[in-house]
Order: sequence, then C-alpha cells, then structure tokens
Amino acid sequence: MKAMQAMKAMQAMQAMQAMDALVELSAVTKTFGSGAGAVRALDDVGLVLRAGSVHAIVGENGAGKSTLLKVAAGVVVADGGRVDVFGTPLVPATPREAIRRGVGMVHQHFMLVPTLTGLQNLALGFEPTKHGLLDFAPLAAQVAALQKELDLPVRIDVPVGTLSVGEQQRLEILRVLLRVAGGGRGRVVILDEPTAVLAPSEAAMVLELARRLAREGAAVALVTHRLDEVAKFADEVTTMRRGRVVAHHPPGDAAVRDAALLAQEALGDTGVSTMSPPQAADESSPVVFAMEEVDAEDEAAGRITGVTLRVHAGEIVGIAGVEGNGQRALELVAAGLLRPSRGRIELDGADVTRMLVRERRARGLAFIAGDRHRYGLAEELPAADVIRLGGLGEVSTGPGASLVDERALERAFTDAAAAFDIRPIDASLAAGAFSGGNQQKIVVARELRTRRGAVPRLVLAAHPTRGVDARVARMIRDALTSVAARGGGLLIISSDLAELRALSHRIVVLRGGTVVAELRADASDDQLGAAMMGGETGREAHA
Amino acid sequence: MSHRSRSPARLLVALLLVCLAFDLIVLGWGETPSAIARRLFSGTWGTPYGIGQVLFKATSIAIAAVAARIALRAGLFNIGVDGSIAVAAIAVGAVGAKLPPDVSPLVAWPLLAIVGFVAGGLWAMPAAVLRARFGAHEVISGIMLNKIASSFVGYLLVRGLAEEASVHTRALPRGALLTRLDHLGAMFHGLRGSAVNVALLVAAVVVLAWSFVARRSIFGRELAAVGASPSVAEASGLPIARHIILALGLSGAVAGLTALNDVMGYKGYAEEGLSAGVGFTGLAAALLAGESTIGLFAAALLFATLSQGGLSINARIPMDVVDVIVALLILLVSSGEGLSRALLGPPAPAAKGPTSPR
Amino acid sequence: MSRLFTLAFLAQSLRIGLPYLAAAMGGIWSERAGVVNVALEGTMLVGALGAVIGTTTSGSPWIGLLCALVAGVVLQLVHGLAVLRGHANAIVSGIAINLLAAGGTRFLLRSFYDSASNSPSIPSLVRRSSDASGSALLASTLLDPSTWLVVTCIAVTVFAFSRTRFGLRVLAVGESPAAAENAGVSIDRTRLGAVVCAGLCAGMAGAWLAFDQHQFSSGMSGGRGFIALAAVIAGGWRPGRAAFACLVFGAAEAAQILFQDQHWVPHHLVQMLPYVVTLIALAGVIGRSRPPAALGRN
Repeated sequence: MKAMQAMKAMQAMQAMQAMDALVELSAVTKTFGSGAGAVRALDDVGLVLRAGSVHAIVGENGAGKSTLLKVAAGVVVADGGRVDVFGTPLVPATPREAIRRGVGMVHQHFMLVPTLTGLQNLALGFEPTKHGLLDFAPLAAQVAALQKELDLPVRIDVPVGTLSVGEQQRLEILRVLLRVAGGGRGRVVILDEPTAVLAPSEAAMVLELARRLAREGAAVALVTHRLDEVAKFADEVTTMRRGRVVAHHPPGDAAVRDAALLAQEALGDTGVSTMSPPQAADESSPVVFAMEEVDAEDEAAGRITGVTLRVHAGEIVGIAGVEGNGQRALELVAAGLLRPSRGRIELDGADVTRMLVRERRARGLAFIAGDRHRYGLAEELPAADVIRLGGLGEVSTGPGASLVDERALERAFTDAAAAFDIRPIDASLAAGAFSGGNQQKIVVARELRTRRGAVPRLVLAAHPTRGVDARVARMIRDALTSVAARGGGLLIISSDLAELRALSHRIVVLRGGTVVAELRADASDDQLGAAMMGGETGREAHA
Repeated sequence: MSHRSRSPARLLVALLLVCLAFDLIVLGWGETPSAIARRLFSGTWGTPYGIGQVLFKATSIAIAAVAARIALRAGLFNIGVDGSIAVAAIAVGAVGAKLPPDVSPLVAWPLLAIVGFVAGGLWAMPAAVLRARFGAHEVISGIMLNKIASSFVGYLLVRGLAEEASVHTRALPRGALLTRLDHLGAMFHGLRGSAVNVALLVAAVVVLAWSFVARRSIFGRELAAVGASPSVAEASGLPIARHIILALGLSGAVAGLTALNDVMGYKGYAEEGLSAGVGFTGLAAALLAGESTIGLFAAALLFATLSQGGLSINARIPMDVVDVIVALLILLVSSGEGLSRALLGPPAPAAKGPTSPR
Repeated sequence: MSRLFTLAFLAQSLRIGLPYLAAAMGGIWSERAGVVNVALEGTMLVGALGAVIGTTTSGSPWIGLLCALVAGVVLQLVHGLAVLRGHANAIVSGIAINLLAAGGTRFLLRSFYDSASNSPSIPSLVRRSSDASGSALLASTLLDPSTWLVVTCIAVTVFAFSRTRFGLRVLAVGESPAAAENAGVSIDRTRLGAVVCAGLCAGMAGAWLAFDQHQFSSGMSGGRGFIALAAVIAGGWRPGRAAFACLVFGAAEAAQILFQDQHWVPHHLVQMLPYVVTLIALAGVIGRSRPPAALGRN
C-alpha cells in the first residue's frame, strides 16, 4: 500500500518536474569551516521547486534548510552538486545572477540597510537612473501599484531602522517581487522562516501572500519550524535532518497535512515536546532581582518603557514577546550594558541601577548573552582564557596573585568540557575554531560555574539554546534548571515559546517595550498569543 | 598564541620582495644594488663602531617597540609614543641637571629612570582618557599630542630650562650618566666612539619583562581580551576603561625609558628633537614582530641597521629609501595573508589576519 | 583681540581651512564606505609633490593639479587593496602608507631637485596679487580657482550621496555590507571606488598646499590629514558638519598665526592651539556621533 503510494507519488513528481520545475538542486554538498570545527551543512541533497506550489522545508535548527535555499538563491556556493534554474545551471552562482533569472530570497535576518529609506533599499543594487542620476519616481509608482495589488502596507519614505519587524519583512517581500517579476516567465520566491518573528496576524498575512503567489504561477519555498503552518499552507513538504533530506512528500500526499508525522520525521525523538513545565516556585523566597519602572532606549537594541519585574530565589522567569519588542534593550539593561534613563534595578537586595556589568557580576550576576559574537566570546582568544574570561582571578598564582595558574586554567577547561561535552577538548584552540554549538557550551559553562562554591544569584540568559542542536539544548536547559534548584534566580529571554513554557515558572510578555502580561507557565497558546500581539487572540489571527 | 604569530615562510617571501624593491629603486637611481648593499653592511655590521651604533639605535627602538606592543595588546595604536619620548627626555634632562655634581649613580640612575617613566606615562594620559571615556581615536589624539609635545618642549627650553645661549638643558652630572659599553672592559674596546651604553641591558630587560607580563600575568591576559573584543570584555566584567588607560599609560611610561639611552647614555643633556621618530620606528618594529619576543629583538636590530646604514649610504643614494623599504615591508607583512590567500588559495582555518587587533 | 574680527582673519581662516575641507571630504568617502583612513596624511603629501613635479616638468599648474590627483588616487588604491584584498588592518596599512609617502616624497625630492628640504618655487593656478590687505587677501582667495575646486569637492560629495547610484551604494556598504551584497552590490568594488574618491580629494588638498606655498617642502602636510580626519569624526561623518569643523580648525590655525608675532603670548604655546582645539573636538565638544556601522570591519 505504502509502496503503491510512493510509486504514484514518484510518477506524479516526475511529470511535474518535466513541466514546471523552475529550480532544481541535485546532489548538493556544502561544508563550512575545516579541521576540528568543520560542519557538514549539506550532504548530497536534492530539491525541486515547482511553479504553482508552496514547498515547505522543515527540520530542526541546524538541519541545513537555510543553507540549502541559500544555494538556490546564489547566496551560498555549493561545494558539489548541480543547481539548475529554468533548466540551465546557475552560473555564476551569485545573488545577482539568481535574481536576474527570477529567483529571490527573503532572509531570516533581514538584509536591509537601516539608515536608508525603504525606497532606497528597494532600489539598492538595481537603481533606476535618469541621465546618470538616481530617479526614484518610476520605482515609487511601481511599488505603490504592487502594494495596492497585494495589500502590503509598508512606509517606504522613512529609514528602515524605524520600521516594525513586520513592515521590514513586507519590504523584503516587496523587493523580491519587484526584482524577480520580470519577463513573465514565472518566478521563484524563497521565504526563510518568515513567521518566526511575526505576530500571528502578520504571519497569516505573509502566508496568505505565499499561497496567492503560488496560485499565480510562482514557485514558493517556505522554511519554517511551525508545522501547523505547513499543514495549512504547503502543497508539498521536504523534511531535513542533519544536512540530509529524510523525506519528501509531493503534492497530494496525506503526510503534508499530518503535523505529527512531520514532527517525528524532523525531530526524531529529541523534540521539545518531551519537556514538562516545572513545579511552581516558592514566591515567599527572597527577591534576587527586580526592575522598577525602568525606561531605557538604544538605537540598535530598541526601547523599554516602565518595565517592572521581579525574580525570586529559585525562580525561573521567562520573557516572551514578538522579536523586536524591547527584549534586546531589557537584556542589556539587566546586564548593565545599557544605562536606564529612569527607574531602579536591584540585584540581591542592593541598588545596582548605576552599576556596570563588572560590579553587577561581583554581586552574583551571570550573563549568557543573546549576541554571542558581540558579548559572549572573543573568537581569537584560546578556549582556556574564554572559559574564565573576566574571572582569571579564580585561577591566580604567584606574587600578589598576579599571575595565571596555567594548570588550574587548563583544568577549568577540561572540567567544563567534561560537564558539557565540549569538543574538541583542546584548551589552546582558539575559541572561534569551535563549532557554534560548542562555543555556546563554552559560554554556558563559564557563566553557570560555581564561584567559591556559590551559584550565581541571577542568571540572565538570552536565547540560551539558539542555534544548537536538540541534544545540546537539553543539556543547557538542564544546567539552567539546576541553578534554580540550588537557589539561583533566572531571567530567560527567548523567542522559543515551547522552551520558555518548559523552563519558566512565570512568563512575562513584552510588547512595544512594556510588560503587557504576566502568565503562569501553563497558560494556553491563545493567552500567550493574545498577549504578544495584543487585542485579538492567537486563534482569531490564524483563522 | 597562534593568532598573532608570523608565518616564517611568508616573512621570508616579504623580505625577498622588499629586497627586490630595494634593488629596483637603487637601479632606478643609477647605482648598483650590490655596491649600496655592501656600503650599508660595512657602515653597520662591518666595523666595531658600526656595530656599536646599531646597538645604540636598537636600544631606543626596542624600548619604543615594547611601548607600542603594550598598547597593541589592548588593540590600541599608541602613535603618541614620540610625544612621551620627547617629554620624558626633557624631564630627565631638567631633573638630572639639578642633581648635585657628586651624585652617586646608585641614586641618580633609578631616580632619573623613574622621572622618565612617570613623565612619559603622564603625557600619554590625555589620549588614554579621551579614548577610554569618550571613545576618541587614539591615533588622532596621539598625533595631536606629539605636535603639542614638541611645542611644549620648545616652550620649556625657552622659558628657563635651556642653558644660556643654547637650545639644550645644562649637562647632567657625571654620576647621572650611563656607562658606555666601551668602558666596561677590554672586550668592548672596539666599540669606542659609539654611543652604545648600559641602557642596552635595560632595553633587553624591558622586552623580556613585558613578554612575561603579557603572557603570564592576569593583567596581560586581560589586556589581550580587551584587544580581541572590547564589547565581549566589557560584558565579561573586565574594567575596560581602566585597562585602556593602564595600557596607554604604561605604554607612554615605558617609552619614557628611552631617555636613559638618549639623554643619560648619549648626549648628557636634553634638547629639542632628540630621538625624534623613534616612537614611530618602534611601532613599525612591533607591528612587524607580531607577538614574538625574538621577533621583536630581530625587528629592532633590523630597523637600527637600516637607520644607521641609511647614514652610510646617504652619500650615494638618499637615505629615505630606507623608510620606503620599511613601509613596503609592513604593508607586505600585514596584507600578506590576504594576498597569499588571493593568489594561492585558502590557508589554514584557525589563523586570523596576521596583523594585530581589528 | 579685535584682530580676530577682520577680513584678513576671515580670509586666512578660509585659506587654511580649504585643504582641510578637501581632505575631510576624502575621509568621508572612505569612511562612509567602511574603510578607516589614516592614510589621508600621506595622500596629501604625495598630492603636494605630484602637483610640484607636474608643474615644473610641464610648466602648467593645471598639469600639476592632474598629477596631484593621480598620485593621490594611486596611493589610496594601495591602501584600499591592502585593506580589502590583503585584509590588512586599516590602521596598520594607513601608518605604512604614511611612512611610504614621507620617505618616498623625500626620496623623489632628492631625485628631481637634489634637495633634502624643498623644491624650487612654482606658480599658482592664477597669479595672486601681492596686496596684503584683508580685503585683497579675501578677494584673491575667493577668486582662486583652486578654492572653487575645493568647493566643488564638497558639492559633489553632498550631491553624490543623495543623488547618484554610486553614492547610495557607498552609504549602503559602509552601513550594512551584508545587506548591500545581498542586494547585488559588490562590496569591494564599491569600497575601492570610494577610496579612489578619497584619493582625488586628498590629492586635491595636497595640491592646494603646494600651490598655496608655491613649493613642496619635506613633510609639508604636517599632520593636516589627521586634523581633517578629526574633523570628519567631529562632524559625524556628514559632509556639511565636517566642513564646519574644518573651518573651525582653520580659524584656530589662523588665530595661531595672528598671535605668533604678539609678545604677550609665548609663541610655542600659540603653536599648540590648532592641536589643542582638535583634541577638544575629539573629546566630543562639537557633538558625539555614531560612525558608519561597518567602519573598520572587513
């Protein structure tokens, strides 16, 4: 029965391929880095994007979904294999050539210049000129027409940095459509996790648009984590795991509508669904961290206004919200990297409002930064130095404890490596030579270490498991929970709702830089969704 | 540590290329390269006097190179070393001239060393504070402070520090002068006439001491963290403003020790423009040497040889050719990795850009 | 003090500020594209020598100007290639370039004119009146075509950033190279183009110095490239504000010249004035500003 189905599917696929395959990847391989840090991102992968079809690519973090589509869009050059666009090889393999041939990609991290206006961004790279000078008028007219046709509201006359995340994404989509629309040959639109950072209503808008484009003859590729979206909007599905395609379900295959089956294929047995919410914390225990009516603003990190929150000893508080709603500012303010313009911050009973990171750390702050490259680890330092960055005094020796005890330092690294399975176990290797997951483990091991037998009073962790595989994520979550069990407080900022739900005793929701709700971990998706997007509930938005 | 090390093969290629450039320039000038090279050699390593002069110049260059290296460790370019050197020289000259005529070297030497150290360090403070508190670029403020230093030194000399009808301070008493090496024993007699003095030993100690501090001490390792990424260092709780001030201050202070060589070991007084440009040469030597200690000695000797040799070839070809050569060498070494990658394909993965901090 | 408010002082400030203005525009081109440029100093120097050699060998100062621009562009291209293709640290490369320019110009000075200090004198683009009155000085400065070339430098820079394809791309690669590349803009090519503009502007600044002093003298840029860079920073990498900062520095230097022959202030201290003003400006008195986001990252 299953064989029959597969056979039929195969025939259907071949027939479609012959007709409508706009992009065809075959036997693509790609390795990032080399030596100890080498990661095989794609291993003999094939993919076909067909006109009229929304093709979902699913799989866990690091499965290779984004890389695969970047190869299709000319952003990443494959080490081996074939990339055909409209039947001919993509040569040269550049974004420009891909765009010229009708393949455009909306990246997960927006590729917009924040200081330029929307219109300037739309023009960049393919600027319309008249007598050698920029002439935006025809482009603006074109954009206006397209916006009206597709009902995509975006302000294009202000610097992009001032737009909301949703607007920025719509701008990206507009750009792709403007670029690849030419020639009437059909077009290929690749959306890399378009809904990850959007409120449900905005997400629905994007997905509806994807369907509509496919109906009009485009091939749409959709990378997503959200299997409910796949079941609802996709025509066919490819599942990836660890750089390989593990399953392909052509249009009409019932599996396309079966979110549970897809989850099993994509995640194996290490899904987040196995996590259970923790016991409620003891609210009578002392407050280890408090923010009172805090305002802060930063050009890059965004803004928070009047934020008040508390973390008790042994309690894990999660910060949820649509990305770009003040989480970054909250992270930096709590760490001491951004000075609040108003309000009061207390750490372990002391007023630390005006204190720098150093002074807060001395009072028991541990900080796992969301931006690892900027705040977490210096890539050119040896791993041994990174494992005690800011804490070399703990392994001191010699006169006045002024020298580094090299053996103690190396032991610190090997101990951390053993506890967190950091590989390779080479303390002299530059931190940048470790893979991303191992780098994160190094940072987590450093921050969660006990100092003179004491656990941190407050662990501030932003996206602690982002970009690491499921096994490492579980390891990190266990380490975080154990800090709470030993009496430390935790403030965890994450865009992964399942993770927050599994870890936190309480979830605080940020919207527009203010706290809009405080929910128990067993709150429903609807409640959370409603708080994150405001007004309407999540279910209404999906409908 | 690997990340700022120099690949010997690449250094060799850079040296060969620079020799080629030298030959071409010399040929273009109308001289024969071998004759000029012979002259350059005979004026330096060819005679005991020449050797003495090279060692004398290498002394100041090595000290200035350590000064530059201290700042480089924290990712800073202390262009202001020349200003610190100028101010330290005048301070040592002024204080030295006030010492009693029968002062003992046991008192005078350490006292004047401290004076030079403190004066050089203080002069680096404005740039240090501007960088640490306001983020002002130390290269620009360093240049400005160098300009201000030379006017300041001129002002001090005019306003009373200079001996009547001269442009230098009064002579230091005998006890404040550093012993010339040719006075130390028969084996150094050949160096007679050259200015090389016991400050050479000070320079060697300074180089080795900083190498030890940089590699083994907590301070040195923390400076490397600041140099590798200031934002990461700050988020890790390192006092980066303090470390920046300490690094630039210590850099200027060490630079001030060149006064030992130039004022106490050579002239016996301070004057305007004494050892001008040594700070810059020291920076060049530090950039060339990367983090290697032996490399620093080698670079100091190389630049001292070129500087002394420039004098001996000047009659045949302008000595400025030496600056051109040094500049080309720094350019080639600092862009060597990228260039070789562009020409020969990808290198080993862990190695970063060959130059210090980004 | 009243001498500060005369036409002569105004003319002098303008005259001194003009080379800063040209060099600062060069700094803006380069740094807005993301390439740190301490090589402006050396570029001015080769520009000045280029102007002199071109003028003396051809007899025409206009040819001299052309040579200055070419020399500036060549030196900046070396900087650009070392940084963009060789991945050299931009400050290291800039320092080396400055040394190359200092040694190279002295070497060429000896080759061409057999002098270690200065060249023979050259004519300006137009003959200046010898009248030393304030109004005459102002008039001659305003009528000097090289003044208008500098003004053109600024105008073209401002215009290019707002109205040309290249200007838009320069702003994009300096702010967000990944986004620009994704949009199909070549980062290296755009940056090299910007560095060429920097070479034109700084070469122009050098030529201005040479024509103003009617000769080349060893090390005649005298830190002006760095002061221009300070003006760029103090002006927040914006042409108009940087131009204003340049004029402030020009005024400081004019005041220095004015006070130099006054006996009530020691002339050594007066000499420091422009440098002290620059330091103060760097400390942020003129206004702290945000550099292009990708400045110095490549």
